Amino acid sequence: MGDIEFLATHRQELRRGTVVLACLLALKKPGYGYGLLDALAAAGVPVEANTLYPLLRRLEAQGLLVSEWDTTEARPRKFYRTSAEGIAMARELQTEWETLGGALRRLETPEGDPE
Amino acid sequence: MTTLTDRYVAATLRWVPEKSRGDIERELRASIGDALDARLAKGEHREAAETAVLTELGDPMKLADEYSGPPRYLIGPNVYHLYLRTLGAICALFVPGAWALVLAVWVAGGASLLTALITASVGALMVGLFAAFWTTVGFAVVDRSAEARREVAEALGVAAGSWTPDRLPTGTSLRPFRANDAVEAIVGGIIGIAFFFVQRSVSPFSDASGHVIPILSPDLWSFWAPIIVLVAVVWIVAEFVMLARGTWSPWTALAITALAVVTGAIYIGLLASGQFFNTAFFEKLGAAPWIAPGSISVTLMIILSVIDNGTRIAKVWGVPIGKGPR
Repeated sequence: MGDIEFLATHRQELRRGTVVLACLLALKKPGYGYGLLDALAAAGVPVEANTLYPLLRRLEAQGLLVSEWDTTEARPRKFYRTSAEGIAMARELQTEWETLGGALRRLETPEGDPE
Repeated sequence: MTTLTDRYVAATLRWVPEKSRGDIERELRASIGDALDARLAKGEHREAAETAVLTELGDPMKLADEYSGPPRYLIGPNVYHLYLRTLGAICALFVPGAWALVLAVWVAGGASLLTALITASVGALMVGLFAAFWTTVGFAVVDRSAEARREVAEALGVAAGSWTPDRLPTGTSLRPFRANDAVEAIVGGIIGIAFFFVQRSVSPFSDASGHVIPILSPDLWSFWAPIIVLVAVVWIVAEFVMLARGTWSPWTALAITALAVVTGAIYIGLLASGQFFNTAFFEKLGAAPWIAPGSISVTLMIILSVIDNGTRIAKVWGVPIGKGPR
């Protein structure tokens, strides 16, 4: 029981930071809230709607995303796109992610090894 | 007609800063609409689909929190420790002080000991709640401004700026236990007990039959004096235990707190009701008004006792009194 709870917590901690990177990468092609939610889930990075929507606004406030209202369709939607700063940031974060991945692989001890 | 979505959006916007409400509302409605359409396209019933979409979005207050950004706490980690210590200091100083004072005033006013005890306990509890409430409010406000945080930290003698190893306490105990305080209390206690006994037989004045006139009221010995001596002895033992173990423990600290409160209360109660000093002695000295209940000197003695015992309690819990490194 406790193990499952801990696993859920740790998994959430591990994923939390990757959501920003996922958004910055996915929004190189402009997208709107629900569309992005769907796309991220399909891509294997499921995010809660109540986390994603406010996050998009925060990233916009930080200048990493830019937004534009599209009113040509029946339902007006706010479209976000990764800014030049956002793309640079995404590159940095991706490097960080890959460095960490490599470091973790090197730390991993083969199974059965007492050390 | 008001839909469930309308109510959800309103419930969310209520907690969002006013200037961003319009934009958030349009965006949130579009997102809910999109999610709803996706479910309807799968053949779900409209009402069920709406409920499911809103359930997925979760508590509107939490969503509003996410939109509003930090802080989502009352007292943040930046001031939490300072808050706890201040709360501790304020309670340690004011609660026993209020208890002793109310007790003294009620006893002096002629109330029964039981009434006085109950009134004092209720009074102390209210003072504690009041102090805790306003300390919390104060810190919640301070925590919302970096400038205020720095000023309060400085005012309380907690150095601002980045930490360096110079700021380490000198000892390694988990609590700031200082031997001087224990020694001071032991020596003070022994002198006090000695005075209690010696003043019975040594005095500059004697009555017509040649008996010595003691400084303290002879009536004390029928009840209060033995109790005072007993409490003082227990206190000395507690300080010795602390000194011998060379470390802080919650039980000795609790014991010393209780002893300080009891000692203070008895002393103040006796002073306030004029039962502590021997009137005959002060009449001989020509200073009887000094010990009259309600006089300035007695009031001063009571205040000093409250400060003294409050300081002892604060010290034993490791609350910083005054500035400077420990």
